[in-house]
Amino acid sequence: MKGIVLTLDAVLALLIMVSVISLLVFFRTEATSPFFTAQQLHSLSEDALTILSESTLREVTNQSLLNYYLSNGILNESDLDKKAIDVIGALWAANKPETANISKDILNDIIPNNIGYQVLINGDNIYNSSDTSRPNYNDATIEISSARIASGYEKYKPTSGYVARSLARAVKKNNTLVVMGDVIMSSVSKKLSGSTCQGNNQNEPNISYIVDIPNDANILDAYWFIESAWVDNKFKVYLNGNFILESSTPWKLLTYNDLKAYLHTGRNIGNVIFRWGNPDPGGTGGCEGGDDGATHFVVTYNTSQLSTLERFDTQYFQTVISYAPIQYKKPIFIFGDIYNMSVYLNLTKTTQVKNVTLKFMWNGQIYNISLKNVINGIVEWNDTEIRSALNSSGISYSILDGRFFWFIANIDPYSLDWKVLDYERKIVGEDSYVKINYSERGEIYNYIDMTRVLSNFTYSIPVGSGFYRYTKWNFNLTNKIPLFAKWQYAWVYSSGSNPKQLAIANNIILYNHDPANSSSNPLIVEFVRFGYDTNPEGVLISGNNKFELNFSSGYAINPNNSLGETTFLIPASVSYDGVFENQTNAINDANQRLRNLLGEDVSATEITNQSFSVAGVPYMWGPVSVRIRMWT
Amino acid sequence: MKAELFSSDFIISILLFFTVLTIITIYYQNLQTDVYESNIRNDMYSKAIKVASLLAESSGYPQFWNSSNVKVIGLYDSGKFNLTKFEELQKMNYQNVKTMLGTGVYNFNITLKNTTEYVVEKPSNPSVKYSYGTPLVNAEQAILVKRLGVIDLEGNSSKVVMEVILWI
Repeated sequence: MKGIVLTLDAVLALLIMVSVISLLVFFRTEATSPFFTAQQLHSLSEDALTILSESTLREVTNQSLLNYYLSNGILNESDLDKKAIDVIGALWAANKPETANISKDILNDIIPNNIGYQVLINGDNIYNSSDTSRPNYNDATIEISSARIASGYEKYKPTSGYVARSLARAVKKNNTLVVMGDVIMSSVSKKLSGSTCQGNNQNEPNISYIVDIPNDANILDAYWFIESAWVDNKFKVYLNGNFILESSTPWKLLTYNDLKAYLHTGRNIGNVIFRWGNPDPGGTGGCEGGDDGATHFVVTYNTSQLSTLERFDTQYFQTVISYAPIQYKKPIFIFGDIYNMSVYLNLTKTTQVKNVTLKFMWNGQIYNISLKNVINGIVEWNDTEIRSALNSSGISYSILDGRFFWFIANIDPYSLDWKVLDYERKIVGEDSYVKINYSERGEIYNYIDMTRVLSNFTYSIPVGSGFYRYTKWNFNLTNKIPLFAKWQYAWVYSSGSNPKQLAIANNIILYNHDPANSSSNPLIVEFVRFGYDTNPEGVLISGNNKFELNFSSGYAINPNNSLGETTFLIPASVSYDGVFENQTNAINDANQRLRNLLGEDVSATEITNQSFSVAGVPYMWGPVSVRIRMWT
Repeated sequence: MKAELFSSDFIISILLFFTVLTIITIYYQNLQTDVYESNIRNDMYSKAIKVASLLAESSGYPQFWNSSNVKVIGLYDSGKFNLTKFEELQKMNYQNVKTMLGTGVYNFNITLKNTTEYVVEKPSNPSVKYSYGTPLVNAEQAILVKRLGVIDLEGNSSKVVMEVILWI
């Protein structure tokens, strides 16, 4: 009995062992590695996308199916030569169910039968093989998908119709003309004693301001702000030969009411005659009469001229007449690469001026160019003379792009006092100029140029008499192409001080004089101009812009007497966009897009349109993601 | 009686012992064989996928290669499998192609099949069939990788499946 029991134990043990071994063998025998299966699925899905995107519909679709869709108008003949993915995308965009049939026809007979697949566009199911003899997606053990980006489709947009673009041939624009006065001075005092001047020498420097308003303009507004060189100067104002007023204050704002009787389109010539301020000829007063560089003439007008921005090739001097030596500081602003420069001064043939000294000022530092004798009333400096003088001071033309630099011309050796009025010194503004050969950045003349005065500014840290140490300008150039922004400042400087001067545009530091840092930018005593173009990137953008001036004790500006302006471009056309059912709607849409682009200050008075029909597959929307999912 | 019982127990246990020992030995040998074959299969799969990718995605080098100047074999050109290149491939020595494709010790066969799973033939000369390599004869293991594409068959485009088989 015992033997039988033992035998049964052994047989049972043997059965168990055989079972375990069999199970082990079963589980160890693995089918194809999931990794390789996934790789195969990936390759096939990529191949399927390549076929859709590289082959025309005609190449990969059953001809009988194509004939059927041609006959019922789902497709037209031209569609057959488009990429299959384009046609599928277009049908999807039009929400046509034929998308599924075409996708299936292309892929079903080449994707192996043991693989399930699905076509999707932007997540929308186009075709899913789950309901066929292929593996069902819900039973999938391995799933792989591949995607391609295809441009040109947007759901529910029409797939055929009309597109249009509009071009403004003629416009009416509300533009602003800004004439900034240069820094021009001449002695009105007999004697300089220490730091004060004594005695009226009877000199009355006469400065002309040219204001060229387009001939077709309708003047909407104008004002003329005049600021004299010294606080006690008096001046008389004329416009086109007509006396307007006499001022006994150092600055004066003339409104449109003061000007409109004499202001007209075309060329206007304003004259300001400055003179000694103290009524007592023997008393003390400001040494010089003239413009401290803050004077500006602003005209707002409506014109039909698309382009009103003049090139900066020739920048004329203002006509100046004085019976004492003249110091003329000419600010130049160029946005583009400067190739060469020259200076030409016409002082009249009969002039008794013997010589003129030309200097150059950059970042407040003055560099001598040369003294030249006047010959037949003319004196000039060519590019070689200017370039070599600047190069010897370490200044190359390339650094001047998009910033203000100055030429200073002393007509006769300059002096703050001039005892005896000897002879007339005249700069003939219409024939005296700085000539600059430069490359303008971009082609600006296919656009509508606009100039705006920057009127949105805030200020703080007052120092008295309307002067502040901190000023911030905000201006919006959204949908505009910015060119440049520039300012002229009514400034005050405490002689001998060394204040901080910080100019920041859109949080990018453009100028920084830090008294504690000798390697920072130098102090600019006459901080009368500042400007910049779109370099470096970010300082002037198509969007919200900000410019800040920050000074420490010793320097300030009067924001209300200062002036900022920006010039920008607006495209005069809009290109093709949406597809519309009829031509009228397409043109109306293009015109409306053009009006939106031009904004409220420009109205198109003559628009030309181009329109054409598109059929079948549109090409102006998207992009969309076309995805093929495969599984086993 | 007692002695007999002991003797029969002993004989049964000896039989059982050797039976189990035999089974374990056979299992161990099979396991070793399976591991070896599995490694080979993985290696073949990896190589087959690489060969198929090279042929289906690359134009080869030079771009317009022929059997005499080819450096890298590839059949893909401008969205299609290039049949001219396939015909150039067919002119090449099998061992050289084997080396260029890097199939190692494995034999291979490359075939273009149409949507009805027949080997693609040249319409103007049906004896030209687009298949290259050695057919499977007494194969111990074989791996098949498929790629999809389009061919220009004497002016008519058609979809094809390229089958790459590696076998040993």
